[in-house]
Amino acid sequence: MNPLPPDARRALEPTDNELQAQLAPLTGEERRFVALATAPGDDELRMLRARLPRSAARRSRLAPGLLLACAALLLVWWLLPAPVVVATPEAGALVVAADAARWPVGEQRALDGALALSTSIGIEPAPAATLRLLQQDANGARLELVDGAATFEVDPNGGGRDLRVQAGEVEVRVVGTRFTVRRAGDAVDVAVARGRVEVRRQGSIRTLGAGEARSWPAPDEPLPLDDGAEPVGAPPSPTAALQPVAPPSSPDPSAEQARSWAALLDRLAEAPPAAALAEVDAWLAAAATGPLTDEAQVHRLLLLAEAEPPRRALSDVERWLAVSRASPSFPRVHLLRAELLALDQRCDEAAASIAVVRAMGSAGLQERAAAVAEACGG
Amino acid sequence: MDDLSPAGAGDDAVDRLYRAHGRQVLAWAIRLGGPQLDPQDIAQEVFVVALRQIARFRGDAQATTWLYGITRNVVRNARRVAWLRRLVGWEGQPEPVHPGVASDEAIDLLQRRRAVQRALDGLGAAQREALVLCDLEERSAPEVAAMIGAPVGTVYSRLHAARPAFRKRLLREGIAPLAEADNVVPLRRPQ
Repeated sequence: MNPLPPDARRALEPTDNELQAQLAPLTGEERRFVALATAPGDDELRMLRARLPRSAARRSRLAPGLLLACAALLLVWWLLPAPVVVATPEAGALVVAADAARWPVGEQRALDGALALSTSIGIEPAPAATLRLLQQDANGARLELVDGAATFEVDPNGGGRDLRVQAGEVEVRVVGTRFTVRRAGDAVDVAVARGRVEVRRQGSIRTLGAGEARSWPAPDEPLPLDDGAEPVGAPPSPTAALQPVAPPSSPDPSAEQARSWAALLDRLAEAPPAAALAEVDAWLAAAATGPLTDEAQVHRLLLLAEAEPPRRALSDVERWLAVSRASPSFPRVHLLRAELLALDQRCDEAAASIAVVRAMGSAGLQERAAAVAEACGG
Repeated sequence: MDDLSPAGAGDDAVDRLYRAHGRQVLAWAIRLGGPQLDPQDIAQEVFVVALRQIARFRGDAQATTWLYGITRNVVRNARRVAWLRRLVGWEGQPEPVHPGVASDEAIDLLQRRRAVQRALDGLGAAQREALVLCDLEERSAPEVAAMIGAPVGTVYSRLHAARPAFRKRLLREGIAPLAEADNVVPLRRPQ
């Protein structure tokens, strides 16, 4: 039989519209309902704008020599102290040295440049950020972020380092750290760059460590309590307000290692588990020891659990556990071991890891360990 | 098309990108990211990557297609990391992300959004993106094929599989589909 000529074949093919119709598309109301339910609101859009950088980086087309000269100038500029307005406390007000203006307690003002409240507290406001000074004394200061975003930096070795920032119903208290608070209406974002902060809201406290960020827009939603968090009103630890909080051991590595790990995570998104595993192995082989190597090793174990049969993954998990008792991920990796053993139908052996998680793990880990125990029949 | 060419990259590129595409990128983040991820985080990351790459944007593709490609990668990465973290309990139950106000209307909208996100989340990634781009955003199959770099026939076959699966999951979430013939019964919202 002769095949149809191409023109005739094309004429017989259904059009796009006909094909779409055959596929029973969502009805108009279904589509509107689903599209409306997932459409971003104006508030969300404003919050997004507040989170975006002020400007895009330009790509230089300068000649390499000129680039080098620019780099040298940049280095000099970077080494110079940043222009910061220093404010000194006075009864009931701060005196801002740059213009000798007073910032009385209770007054709201838009800051247009970096400000040092003391030798140990710095504020870098975003444009149009508005703050109100609520209290200041020799120990520190209490500020309200009325609107916009500002980054706060506290030197744990300086005097007067107790800083509290109120943003709506959220209060961030810090001793020795760098963090950013953004506020748009009732929505508040807190992001911690270094150290650790306590966030209090509606009678509950949670701590955020370096690299962590949280949003609390809904006034009625209380903060989940951290493990060991004290309810507001409980007697504070006598040294809590005075001691710098040690930065967490996990993600505060050298910038270079952090960049390379972030780039690796980007690549992993595209890779199947086996290829991702090879990438992490290569990264670990090249990486100097640092806080991220622990995270990378645990990440590797997870990939291994995904890519390999349980027995193969288990041998690496057990090797890691044998030498990593001090790692903060120790109970978590024990949970992984229990899950792999359960998968391998070796529930008797899983019991020891479940016991470790129950003894050392957070509430969330303990719940998961309980689920593994239940899957093992008790 | 928006001026996103290298010559257009500069100090107000952020504003131009945000004004032209902010709502769209945020909508993709909500629809493709699912209930476990913060759409603000995803959209922010998309813009950060876009601004980093804007000088390399050659303008021979639609800006929407270019941004969708970035969104797709960011979402895939975020979903994977979230999955890995949940696997060993690094993150407990996901914290709900709120639109910013807590009026009854906002809570109602949030509940509906969560239900739809869970229904979308039950689809595979390929089916989810076909359904979102074709049905929710009413793009033509050839346009979607160009955006995702797949043949038009593939888009149709994914849609074919996605629609009944999505309806079934909407029902499971308590959202009843309309009567087939006449569109008189309003969609029920989840209780």
